[in-house]
Amino acid sequence: MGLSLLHHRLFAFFASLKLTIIILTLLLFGLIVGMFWDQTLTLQEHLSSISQTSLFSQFFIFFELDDVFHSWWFSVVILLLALNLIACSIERLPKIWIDIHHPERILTERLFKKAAHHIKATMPFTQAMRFIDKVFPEKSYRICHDDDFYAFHEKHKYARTGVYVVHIALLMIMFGSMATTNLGIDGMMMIVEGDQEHSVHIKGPGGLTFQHELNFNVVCRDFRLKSFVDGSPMAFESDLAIFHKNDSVNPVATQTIRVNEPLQYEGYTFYQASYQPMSGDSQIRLSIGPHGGTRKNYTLPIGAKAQMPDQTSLIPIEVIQDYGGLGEAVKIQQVSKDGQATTFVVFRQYPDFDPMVRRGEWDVFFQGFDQVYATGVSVARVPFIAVVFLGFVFMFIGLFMAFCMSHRRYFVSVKKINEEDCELSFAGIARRHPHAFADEFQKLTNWIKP
Amino acid sequence: MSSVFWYNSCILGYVLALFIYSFNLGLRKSFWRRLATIIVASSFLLQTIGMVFRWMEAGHIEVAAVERATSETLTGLSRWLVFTQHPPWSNLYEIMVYMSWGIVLVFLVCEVKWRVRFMGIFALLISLTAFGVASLTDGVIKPLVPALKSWWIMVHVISASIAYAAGTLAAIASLLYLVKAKDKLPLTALSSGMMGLSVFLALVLGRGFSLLSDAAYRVKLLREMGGDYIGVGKIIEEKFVPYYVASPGVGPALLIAILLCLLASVVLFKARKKSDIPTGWVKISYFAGVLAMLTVAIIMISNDLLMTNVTVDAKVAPSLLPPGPWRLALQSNMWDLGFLCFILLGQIFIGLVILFPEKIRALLPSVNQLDRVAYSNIMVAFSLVAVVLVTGALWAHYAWGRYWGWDPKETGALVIWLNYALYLHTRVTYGWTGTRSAVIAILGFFIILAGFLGVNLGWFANGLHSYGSA
Repeated sequence: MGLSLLHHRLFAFFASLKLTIIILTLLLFGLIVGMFWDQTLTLQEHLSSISQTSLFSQFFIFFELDDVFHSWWFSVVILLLALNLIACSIERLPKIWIDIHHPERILTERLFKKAAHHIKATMPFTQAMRFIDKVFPEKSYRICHDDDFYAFHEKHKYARTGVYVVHIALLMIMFGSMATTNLGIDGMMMIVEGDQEHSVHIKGPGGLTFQHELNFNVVCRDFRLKSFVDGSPMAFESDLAIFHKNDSVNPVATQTIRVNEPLQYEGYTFYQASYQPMSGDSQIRLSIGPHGGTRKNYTLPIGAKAQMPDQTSLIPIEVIQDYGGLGEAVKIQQVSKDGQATTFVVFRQYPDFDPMVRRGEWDVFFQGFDQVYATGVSVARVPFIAVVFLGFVFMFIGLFMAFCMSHRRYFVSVKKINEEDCELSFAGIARRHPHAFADEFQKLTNWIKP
Repeated sequence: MSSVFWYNSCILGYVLALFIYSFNLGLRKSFWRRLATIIVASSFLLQTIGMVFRWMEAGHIEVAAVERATSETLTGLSRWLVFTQHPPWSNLYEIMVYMSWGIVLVFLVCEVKWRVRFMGIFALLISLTAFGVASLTDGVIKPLVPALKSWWIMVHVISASIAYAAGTLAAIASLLYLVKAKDKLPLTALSSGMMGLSVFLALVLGRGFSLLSDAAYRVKLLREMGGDYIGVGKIIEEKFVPYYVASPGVGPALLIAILLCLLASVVLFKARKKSDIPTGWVKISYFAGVLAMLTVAIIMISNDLLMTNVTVDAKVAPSLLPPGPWRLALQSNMWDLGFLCFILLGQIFIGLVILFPEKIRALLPSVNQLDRVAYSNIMVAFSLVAVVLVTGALWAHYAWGRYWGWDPKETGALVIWLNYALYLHTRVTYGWTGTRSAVIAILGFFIILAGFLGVNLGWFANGLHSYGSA
């Protein structure tokens, strides 16, 4: 096989639309696998739940099912898609470009038969010319050959390039995402209030974390959590300051960051993402009193006793972050004076639950925590983000061109039969919205009886 | 007046229009069709008003919550910003109401443009199912979590709703296309496909392997508390894990239904070349499948309504919270009920076609019209899912610092988009305009269900969009 033949065949392979269909199917398959399989676990966590020596675990490791979207085979499919998009565009765009600028404008017999919609009828000249003036604007192409007259008109001739604009947009987005995966950074920093931090935790391949060292320090001067009365967060913000490594006095940048209000420094962007109460430092605020009576406030760590006048003690033993969708709750152990222990749960959001539903000897209200927080800052460096965003813009332009504009061509030929009558052939081609064009053609020609 | 009042009157309107559409099928009087369409349009308006009211209710709650938390009184622009930040599509109840709104909107456009009242029956039934499921979820307005406080939520969710509604309408049109195009696809083959799909969906409903391994269908255990139902569960490693109990009789009934549907599917498939319309035993096998599925639904619902005092294994009972008495209710498996509604809707419709093939085919719009409706809706869906993906990416970029993170919800939207890309490309490449395109469009509906609702309901790995769940 000659080199040119190989080249030809390879190109034909990559430029075929059938390959597109196969790639799309494969891609869909990959995405669905990735959706069903928990991608947040590491390889080790996955393997611990399946037998180590089984064929399936070999299969699992080979196809990197713990990180489908960054696996070799998924990358191959994406790469194939990119090659396919490029080859398709090289194959088809020049032909379309030539056809846009040099269309076939004379309605030949061959073209007449090829057109999806066509009609031929005999009628007086005047009638034919009136029809032509109605359908074909003055500026449209008109020519006389011998005794025959031809006209040609088209609408939205560039609409056909819309598909390729979308394809170029997709290539731009794919290029951008490749740059992000290989050159970008997407990680987290947990900074305790008043502390400084310079390493970013990044989730790498296989769900393993590694650290990226910044060449400056980020200090969290203060973290403020504003919460609603029921304990759910209303807003949270951190005062961040950035210092050079060898300077701890003069900050080079300071800003208060909130959700949707990040700090940008040296190509890095710091987003307020989350917060975390520091373990061991949480104090639980309880309000306790006899059933229906007046209550007193207590602030206790886990395991500490609140002593009641009748020697009963109440001990918060566990904090539950989200009790079945009912929000924060605390498990309380009640030890009566003869040593009998019972446990129950009180909710922060439902203060009525304890006196109304549980109806214990003591009413216990859970009012929240006193604690020190660590602010969760997500750190990102996204190179070539502009290419991705430009790709988005191109995609919408392309989609608009492809779907909202429909390329339509109208051809007419008038052939002289005698001094008064002529044979009018009218044909139309539409590349999109065939049904709508059929309606339009019908409307234009419903007065003609072939 | 509260939003619930408007929603209720709108539901009434939809039901009325549904009746008129159904009864008018035999009469074919354009007066009744127009009347029904006007009723749908005005009920749609009522629903829109209801959503505006809901928005205002949420606004008052947001303002009150902020004022209580900060002990300041908001005025002017800052009050307005807090007041409007909570649109009526931010929890599962609202999303379901909002989806039903989108479906009716897209249907109205199709009806005005192409006169497809037959699709109205399906659109209204799906819309009412969405309302029904919404009425079972917790509709209480809670202040918005900080991550959702963004103007991106407006355009992101609006386009999602209309895109998914257009996808749903495309699937309906495609189903009707398959019924109408008898020279391309015999009814036997279509009903075989319907039964095959039912087998798959019933397996999803019964949680697949768990159903096959011990023939039990499990639902959430509930505790009634002041008119509300609260999930029962136990605490394992500081996490609340809901407790499931087997709903008696449903598991075996579901297995029987699956077997009968599978049998019907095979029998119908074998008969596909012999005749268009199933007859004799082939016909009976189809209705046996439908009957079995109906029995499952009846047992499921009666269990939910009648089992007001459930006893649990004595070993587990003490660790369950909150303490008994426990019961089942429609809330125990409301999503499954909605899902079962879809299966039965499809099965009964195809069953009616088997009984009255010529009558129903004569009532349907022409094959070309249906193909056109499906194609146009998919173009809208494809473009708007692109908007959803891009606005989602931009929002994620500004809020989380990454525009794409392979979160299940993002991946789900991408799957929906690629499926429609596949539809459009097969149309161009292979000239698939008929049955095969229709099959992709119908699959699209289930992909929407999985990608849109499945993720929120935790069918897949947990992701960032889970704050939308109930």
